[in-house]
Amino acid sequence: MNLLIQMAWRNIWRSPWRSGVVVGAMALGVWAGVFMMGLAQGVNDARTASALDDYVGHAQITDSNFTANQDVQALLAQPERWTAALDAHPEVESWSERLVLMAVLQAGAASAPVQILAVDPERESRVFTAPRNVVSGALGSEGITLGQKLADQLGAGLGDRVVLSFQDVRGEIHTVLFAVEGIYDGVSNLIEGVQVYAPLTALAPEVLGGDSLAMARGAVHQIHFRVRTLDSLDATVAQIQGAVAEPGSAIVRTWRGISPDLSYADEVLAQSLLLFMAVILFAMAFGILNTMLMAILERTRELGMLMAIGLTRRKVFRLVVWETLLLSLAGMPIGLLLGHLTIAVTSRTGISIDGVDKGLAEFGLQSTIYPVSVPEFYLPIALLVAVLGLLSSLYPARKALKLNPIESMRVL
Amino acid sequence: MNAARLVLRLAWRNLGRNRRRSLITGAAIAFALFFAIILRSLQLGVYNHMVATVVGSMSGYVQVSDTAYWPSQNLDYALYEDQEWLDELRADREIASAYPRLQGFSLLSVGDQSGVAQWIGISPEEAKEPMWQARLASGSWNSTPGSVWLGKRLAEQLRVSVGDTLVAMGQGFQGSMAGAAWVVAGTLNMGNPELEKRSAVVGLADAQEFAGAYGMWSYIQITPRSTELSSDPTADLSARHPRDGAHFLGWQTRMPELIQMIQADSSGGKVILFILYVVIGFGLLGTMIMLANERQREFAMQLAMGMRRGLLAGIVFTEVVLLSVAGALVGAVLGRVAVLILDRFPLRLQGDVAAAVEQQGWEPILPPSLDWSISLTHGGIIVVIALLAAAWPLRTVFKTSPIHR
Repeated sequence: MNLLIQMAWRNIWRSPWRSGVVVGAMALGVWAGVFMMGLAQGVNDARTASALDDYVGHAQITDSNFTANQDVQALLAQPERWTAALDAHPEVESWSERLVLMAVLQAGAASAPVQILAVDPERESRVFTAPRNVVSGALGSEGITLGQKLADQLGAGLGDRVVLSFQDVRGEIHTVLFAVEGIYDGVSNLIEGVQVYAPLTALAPEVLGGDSLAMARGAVHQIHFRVRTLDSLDATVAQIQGAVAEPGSAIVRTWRGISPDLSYADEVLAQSLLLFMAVILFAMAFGILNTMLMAILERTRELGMLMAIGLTRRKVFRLVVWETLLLSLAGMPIGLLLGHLTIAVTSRTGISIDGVDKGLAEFGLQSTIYPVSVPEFYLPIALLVAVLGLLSSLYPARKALKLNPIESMRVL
Repeated sequence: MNAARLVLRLAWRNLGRNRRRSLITGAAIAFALFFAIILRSLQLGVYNHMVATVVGSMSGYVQVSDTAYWPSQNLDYALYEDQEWLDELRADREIASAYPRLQGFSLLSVGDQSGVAQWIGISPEEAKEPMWQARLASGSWNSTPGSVWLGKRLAEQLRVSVGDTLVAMGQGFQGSMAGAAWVVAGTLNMGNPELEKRSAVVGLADAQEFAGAYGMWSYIQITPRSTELSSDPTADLSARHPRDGAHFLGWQTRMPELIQMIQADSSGGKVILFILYVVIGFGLLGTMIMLANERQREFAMQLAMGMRRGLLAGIVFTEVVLLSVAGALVGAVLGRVAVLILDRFPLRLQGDVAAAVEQQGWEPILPPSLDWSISLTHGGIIVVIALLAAAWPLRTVFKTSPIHR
């Protein structure tokens, strides 16, 4: 067996140019594939991170009825118990309470559906980016703050008066006039078109149907919070849940629960990347099959000779299988290593895509991508290469098997 | 002329002389193209699927509206009804369907529950479209005036079911106050959770009455015959059916986020394709090196007999051209067949991902694009790569000594 492998290895390098090209192609393909995966993973991680900062948050406490259908009456019971628990936990970086209302916003003759967030601006800006990105005016204490996209769409600017229509907790419809005091920009258009900030103090009495500010202080729909390290988020959430006795219908959800599409984006990406890698490796397997097939036909005479001096057919078959397999496998570790190294270097330096792709920037992505190493893909890639190498060896090996030693030797 | 014919004939005979080698080289080219076509078709197909899901059913591929309608989507900038012109649009061979709509926003309330909804007035013909018929989750499309069909989640949120009456309040035409009582005639699966939370469909006549916009359309929604990404019929249609104050807008203009997302993703796809081509290029180069090595003796012999190197190179080059074109044709046909099969039996996403994607209102499949331009573009690229790889045997022709060997 060892002898056969040795022979196969030497046979490969009898034609260094040809084999070099095949091995090089494999190394290059695997390298490029690994790097591509790292790059895609990096883009995805950055996208997730900016989504968490822009609008998802790390985790959220709400009443389960509110999550289900944004029911304005589903206030969070005794929010002060939760905020006390958040304050007490060392892992929690910041939190912000929100009153959330669905409303129709009317500006002049135009109208649009919006989500009003009544917040404490200072607290909110420590959890989300939007309140930090107010480009004109300020997150005021009397007026409302719109996203740039919504302002453009409605033709509304600073100082303009707009009307918000919404339902209060008792089911009565309110129509309230506000002035636009601020405009924020630089977050996803999906958010800029919908989220409107309004001061808690001005809105709460309307929503609660009374004028008691004391009552308003305790009324919230959601508490969003940020943790210091995302890796221990699940543990932190569990501890906070444990810290509040009898939570009633209140639930704590991490970003994976708030925005399942974000958490699944990773997996969709992984599946499609593996699919594309498989197609590339499949194409490579055909290249190898071609090379081997030609090599066998070229070496008819030599193989005939080997058979004539007593190499059994089974051994000839194995010889060809080994040759193909070694040819396929030789480049793979080089490619993996190069891919890993490239990612290791670029993940530190970053890859600037400035001016290459405006589309990426629109997602709130920075103009520098930091690839992430993807060791979990190395084994599947190695297995794919081995399996495809084995498969592509079968046809040439069968061809070699069918050679007739006497006739083969007669071939010029 | 004669020399060219001679070259062609010799090249053809050379190919025939060693059929097995020609077949293997041709097959390498064919398979390369085959894979490139499948890969790109899948990539572009996913975008088509995305666009069809996001715009195809709801806001439409092309909208015709007043020039001032976008981006505010203000009811006051509605179009006057023009049946004659609508008929003209419908008669266009590039247009699969054209339906007028009137839409706006309102507050819907039932008892102490209320929600914000986008109301869409659709014509009775449009309601007969299979797309709308298939969406019905409960109730029926048979309606009396004053019927409303709610997105499933909106109905849950308002806690209403078929037969309940709800009150709609909002802004009407030219600042008037709009109000009406509508009876829920059905609930709809909108194929997207967000749409299900905020859509209310009413009859066009009811919508006009509600908004006080008698004889007005917000826009005409047009579905072109070809919905491939590469073809944007907006400009063509606009040129063929001019009308004062009317503006044709493709989804690309109305939803820049979507097109940006596609472009960003597509550039990643192109990188993958580039990798594929590098791999394929090396595979072809390997084949060409072998071809050159095998035939070195033959080249030497011909040179020794007085063949001019230029002519020999011409013959080898012609061989590669013939092979690559033939290979590309076979590859294009195979790729087409594979794409058609994938179209019939699309790849499915697996596991939790599939469930999550489905929940977002997407069918968890990876359908291929059936665009012919993919085969053409990549056929051309493959032929060019093959010709570049042919540089190796040409180099051999010029380096081979007629004496050695």
